Amino acid sequence: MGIEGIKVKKNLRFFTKRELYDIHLATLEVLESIGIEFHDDEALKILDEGGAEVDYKTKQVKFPQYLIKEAIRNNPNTITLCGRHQEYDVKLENERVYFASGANALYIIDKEKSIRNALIEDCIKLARIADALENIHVYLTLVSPSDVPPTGVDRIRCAIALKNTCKHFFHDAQGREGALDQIKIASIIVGGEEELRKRPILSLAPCITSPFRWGKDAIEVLMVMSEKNLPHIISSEPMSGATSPVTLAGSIVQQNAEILSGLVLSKIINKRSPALLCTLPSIMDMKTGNISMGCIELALMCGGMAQLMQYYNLPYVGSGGISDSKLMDEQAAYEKALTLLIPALAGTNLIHLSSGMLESILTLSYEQVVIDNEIIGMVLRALKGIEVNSETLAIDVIKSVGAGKHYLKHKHTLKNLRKEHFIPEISDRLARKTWLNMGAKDAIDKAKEKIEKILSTHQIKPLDKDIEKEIDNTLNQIMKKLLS
Amino acid sequence: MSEDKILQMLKESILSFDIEIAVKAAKEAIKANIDPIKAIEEGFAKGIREVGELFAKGEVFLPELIMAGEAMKAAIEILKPYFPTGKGLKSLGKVVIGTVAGDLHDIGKSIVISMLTANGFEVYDLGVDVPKEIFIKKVKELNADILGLSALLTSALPEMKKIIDELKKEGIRNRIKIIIGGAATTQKYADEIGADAWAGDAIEAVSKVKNLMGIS
Repeated sequence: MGIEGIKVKKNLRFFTKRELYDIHLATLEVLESIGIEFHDDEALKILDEGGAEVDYKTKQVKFPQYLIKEAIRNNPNTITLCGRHQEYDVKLENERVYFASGANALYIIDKEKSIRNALIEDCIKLARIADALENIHVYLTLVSPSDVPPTGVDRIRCAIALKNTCKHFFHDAQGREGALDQIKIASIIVGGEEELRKRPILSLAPCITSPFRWGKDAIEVLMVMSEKNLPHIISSEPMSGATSPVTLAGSIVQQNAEILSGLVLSKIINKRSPALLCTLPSIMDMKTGNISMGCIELALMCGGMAQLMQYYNLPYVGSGGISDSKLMDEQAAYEKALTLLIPALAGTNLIHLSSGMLESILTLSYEQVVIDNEIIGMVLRALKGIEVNSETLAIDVIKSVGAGKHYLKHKHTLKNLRKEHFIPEISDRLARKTWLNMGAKDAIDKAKEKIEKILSTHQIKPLDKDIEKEIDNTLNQIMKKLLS
Repeated sequence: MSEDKILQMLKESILSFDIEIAVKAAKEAIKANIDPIKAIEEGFAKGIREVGELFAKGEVFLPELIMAGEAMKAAIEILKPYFPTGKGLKSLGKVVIGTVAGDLHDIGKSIVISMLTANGFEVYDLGVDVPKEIFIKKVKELNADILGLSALLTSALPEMKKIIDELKKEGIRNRIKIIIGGAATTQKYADEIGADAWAGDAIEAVSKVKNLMGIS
């Protein structure tokens, strides 16, 4: 049991077999010739002993082909990210699609366009809202609070998330200590570190600095998680035209090389540790020099990466549903719809940053989280496709209704309507007059009402009082130590 | 089973949206010697009201609403022969309805009929492409309270005016309330041709018809 996700019947394809192979070979060549920098002595030693060609002075690591192939072969093909309860588990494997929320926005904007810093209180509320929304399958902390010091904010966000949602928590960490502290907090909930290995409610995402440089903090997080046999999401976030080639194929080669280099380190440390490969492929907008994550190229690159990862038979965590718009407007709607749909149709297993994000990933709007939940609902319906069998072909039904009548009174309609039609909550389909009578509400108004309803009625399965207290005490100790 | 339990079962049979279940429930009520009027008013009708409320909240969908109405209709048919002599169901009013000549569209009107029936009106459906003479004849014959005219095609609109003019000529315009609806119609057009009301959808149609009958 767990969240079913959608198994895509026929994926959208971007490459021919030959092109996939060319991308693979180009990746191997990059890893073998220029290699990747690892700014951590322990990692260099591990890679050296594991068979890579290491230059300790330049921190350059070159990877022979066999190491890459072994790493791909050794990693699990199916990785289950657990929720606090089993019903929230998501099973990441090829061609099954799930969605994870937006992450770490610094500002909050509302319909009136007033913008402010995100606070602890928002962090709590948004975790509860995400807990209630059916199309957010995995939770990332939607905002990063500004009313706490930046050092140790990862621990604070972790405690808030784990207390306020039952969904799996996908996070980042400030180096080794950040990872260890978060593991400690998560272990309290499940009853120890051994239990956490069995039911990992927390995963951490170390990210390479493109191009080709693994920083110390990220390496530490990767190593801790692999050692401890806990899920780690090895990420690359290159900007096409600036920190990766302007050509999309070239950017894909680079992001592939970057995440595979991390995978090799993870596999040398622990062959069967659950490693996930993730990319957030943006472009630089050449008119302004700003990053764009609402661009169609992000959708294309994620779709292409999904196909490449299927070729490796590894689960892929992609991105989508981000907008560069500063507010909830038409741009936000079309960028989100397109960048959610395309990676999903290509079979991206977990699409992260999928809800709430505006101004790339700097700003969040509460209402947008709910609107995006609805867009994802439509995307999930699209993924289900058109089922064909004797029930859905409905030959007998068609014959029995005949010309000039209607299907509203047929049992077949009653039986299948909820399964076949997506039932929107936010989209408006009222007649104009009824709509006017009901207050002429737009999508944002309706999203706002839904948020108010969630905040006043949604109950999160409560944590044991003692556990909650232990989390608070542990967090206090951690923070005291950090800030002294 | 106690009477309360049976009435509860009758109510729930409507919420199953299944004609057969409602018919079976009606037969059970007869077997248990429940007053058929009571079975309807305190059993089935409660179910219909609940379905209506759920529909308004968006928790029940149109085909379910219509099927609940059909189930109610079927159950009443089973109970009718058992009504005590001289007693019948209180009808909220007689409605004659049809799509005007030149227009074959049926679906919107069907929904309105289901809703009106479910709300306790006695509805006579004249079908589609109905000549004005038939409307006049039926209104007279049934001594109807309400005449409902439907049109989706703009080209069929003048037919509505013709029907109203004809009713005036016959001297019976004031005996009946007229409501129009359908995609081609508007409140403005209703005012122009001297109809008593216009409705934009089936829910509005029910509330407008109730208004016309002086029921709130």
